[in-house]
Amino acid sequence: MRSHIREFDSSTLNESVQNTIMRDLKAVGKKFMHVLYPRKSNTLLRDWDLWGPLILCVTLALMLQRSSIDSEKDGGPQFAEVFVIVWFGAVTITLNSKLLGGNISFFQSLCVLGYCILPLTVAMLVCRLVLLAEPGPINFMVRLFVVIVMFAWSIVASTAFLADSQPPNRKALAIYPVFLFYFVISWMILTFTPQ
Amino acid sequence: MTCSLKLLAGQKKSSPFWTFEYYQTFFDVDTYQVFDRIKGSLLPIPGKNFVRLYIRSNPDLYGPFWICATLVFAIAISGNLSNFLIHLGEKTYHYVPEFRKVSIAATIIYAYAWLVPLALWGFLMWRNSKVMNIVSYSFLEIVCVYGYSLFIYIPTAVLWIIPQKAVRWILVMIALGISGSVLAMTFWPAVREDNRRIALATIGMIVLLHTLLSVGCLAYFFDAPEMDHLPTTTVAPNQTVGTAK
Repeated sequence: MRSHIREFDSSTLNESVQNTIMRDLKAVGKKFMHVLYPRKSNTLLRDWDLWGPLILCVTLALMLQRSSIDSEKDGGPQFAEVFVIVWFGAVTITLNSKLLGGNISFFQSLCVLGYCILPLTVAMLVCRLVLLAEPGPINFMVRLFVVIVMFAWSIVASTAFLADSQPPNRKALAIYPVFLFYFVISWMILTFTPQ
Repeated sequence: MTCSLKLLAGQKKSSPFWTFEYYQTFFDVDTYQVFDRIKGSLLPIPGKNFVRLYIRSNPDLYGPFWICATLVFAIAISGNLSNFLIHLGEKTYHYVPEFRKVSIAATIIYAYAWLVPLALWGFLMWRNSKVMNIVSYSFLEIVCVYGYSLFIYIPTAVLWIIPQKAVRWILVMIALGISGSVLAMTFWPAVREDNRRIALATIGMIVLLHTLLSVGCLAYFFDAPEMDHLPTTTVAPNQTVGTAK
């Protein structure tokens, strides 16, 4: 009982689990591509989903955690703190843009903000790899450069998707919190120090 | 213009408070208006009332909320960076991001930005029932003034990274001077009809709380740049910084 035409399909309940998972994975993957090569398109907005943001947030939070043996001296963010910052921050920005009069729906905005964390997650991966080498100023400069580039990429990607939904004389007011949000995440990534 | 803008029930907020539109009226500002208000908070001119000039019965919550959010992160990040620079070169220092301080900073700043206006508004309403004042402010207008007056602390917090005690205290004076005078000039018309002592005490209390906030943040989030380690740090080696603390 395979269903090939998705729009007229109402019995996805009968398909194999592999089909379901592959379909969702393909949707997530397609959106990742849209974030990596941001153009003004409606795909992210039209078919929003929160799987991608969840995967990215969990990955980021896991990588930002370290084995806290000296948990008193360790001042970095814990898993729950990263999670709360990402989701609470995204909800606040969404509420802000809706209160300013934007015509984007709540979950569409969450979707865009969550997916645009992808460049910063890549930066986190790169930083962790770079930190395996010997510490020093060159190590830090490389990490700083990577984080700055990925931060700019996140901002450009999210602006490309979100800017059109704001009234024209309030665009800056709606974009500034996005800037602050990604700046804080970049700071958490840059100041990550392993044991 | 001697209009008394009493309480929250202005003419434009007609939606009931459980609808989304009610809260949208507090975000009814354009980009240039927010910039104008920020500029007004940075340039206190005697005789020009911030509320009358810039807010004009359209108080917004966008400015206070996001200025406080930026200030929270500015203080936490600058404090962390400054401590890192001060202790750079010490063999026993291990850098930690001190993430807990963000929550502490958020609690302090947001509590100040909401509770002090609430107390002030209650006090002014109480005095208003005893002495007929010509000018009275709504709660949201007071929140607005306090929120925008905190803006000067954002560049101040960033400049506090400089590990020189004298520089830091000069910055405190400048910031306190500017934002304190904005607050004083805003609230003086609301209390000047009152008993002289009470009026002066009110203004004094406003400035005192503001001072406590800035000095408290400086003391808690920024380590003192003491010279108790080898002078291989970024502090100029020929100066002897006071080690009173």
